[in-house]
Amino acid sequence: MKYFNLIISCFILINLLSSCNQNENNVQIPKVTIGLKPIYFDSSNIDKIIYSTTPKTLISPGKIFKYGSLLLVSDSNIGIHIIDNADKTNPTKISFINIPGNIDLALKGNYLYADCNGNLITIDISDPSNAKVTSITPSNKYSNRPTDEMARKYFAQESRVFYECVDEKNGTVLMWEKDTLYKPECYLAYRSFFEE
Amino acid sequence: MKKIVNLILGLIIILTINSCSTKESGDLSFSNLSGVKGQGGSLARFCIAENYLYIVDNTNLHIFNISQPSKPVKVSEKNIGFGIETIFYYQNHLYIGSNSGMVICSLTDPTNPSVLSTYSHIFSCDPVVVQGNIAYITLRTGTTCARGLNQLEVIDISNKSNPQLIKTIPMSNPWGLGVDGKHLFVCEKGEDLAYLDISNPTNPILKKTFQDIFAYDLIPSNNLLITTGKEGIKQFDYSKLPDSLVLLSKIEIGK
Repeated sequence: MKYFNLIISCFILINLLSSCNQNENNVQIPKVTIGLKPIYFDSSNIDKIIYSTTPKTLISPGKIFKYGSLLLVSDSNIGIHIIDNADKTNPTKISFINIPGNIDLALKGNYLYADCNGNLITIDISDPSNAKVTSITPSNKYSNRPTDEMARKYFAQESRVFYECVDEKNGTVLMWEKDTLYKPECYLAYRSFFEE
Repeated sequence: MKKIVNLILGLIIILTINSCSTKESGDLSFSNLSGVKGQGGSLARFCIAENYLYIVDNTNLHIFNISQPSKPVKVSEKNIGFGIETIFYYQNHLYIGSNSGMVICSLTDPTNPSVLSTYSHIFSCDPVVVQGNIAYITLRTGTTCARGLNQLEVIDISNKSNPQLIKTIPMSNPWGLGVDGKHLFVCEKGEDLAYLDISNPTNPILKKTFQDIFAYDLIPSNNLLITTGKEGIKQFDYSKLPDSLVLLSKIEIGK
């Protein structure tokens, strides 16, 4: 009986070790590849990520928010349309605010609260054609690595996605973008839908 | 001397309180929005109640103080359950819709919502809206709720610690819903719009189903119905119900 336990334990141990080794050996870090690159929160780049544009066409309307004669419409994952709805028979788009990964929204006075890939962003829209981010409340959701969902979104056919390792000195990760990576040391292995 | 100092201090305090309670007015240059209350659809995960912003994620309720609207300050976060989908504010209470039911929270202490009750139903996707002492919940089957039912539930919430199911109405595949006075609107299959008369709030009566509205969520208020869906944003005048729903405008996809 004792031997039996010992054999089982050895078996498990060997299996564990060998599977680890296999992983280490199989993954070769490519010199150049397409993968995911973290975009960090930074007061210097936020205006390049969240900004007003002239009115845009409606692509995939999601959640809506009514505020007096204003109507706000989230265009799923792209941003928010600001619409003057004083004349219900002729609503007029005033501007569009580019907010990647936006789904939800609420407005109080001049301040728009919106999610941006799971982070809470506050935007002053007193001048809708010149929206200004006044506050960023990062969630820790994407702090260390991209999620399986994101990897799937960009690389549906693959089971392994390389990404640029997060350097916390650069701040909090806002989102992940598909980009060319040079010798990325981090990767994400996940089960794709096809394997399941 | 002490009395005078106290008097001045008292005056200062009174003045400060007064200045705080004056209504904030938005100063958007293109419209007058002073004292306006915002309204989202029933599928919202964000809601504002006075000086607080409440956000639900899959499992938690996050509470932000927005007394200084430009800089929300996170106050706390509270675990509510799992499969949380929607949040609805009505008269000092939060109604949170999840895969497994509805959670009612009291905002007596707005920084620390206390759970009064959890109304459980079969595992489904569901938003909730409230008017008076009645909550209306739609239950829908979907990819993440494959075992669910398709129905509208009418729940008596006069005792918020003990909500009671009054009535169940079968539906096709209900999504968002909205309530205004004697009108209850339910988005069906993302295509049709069911209109129910709730003159008797505990006994909604299906009056009409308007086809090809293509809405998955809506906001009804003062005879104006705003819908969002795969054909875009549509607005209707519902003052002529139950006979007709008058289309006022459309913002179409690609336009």
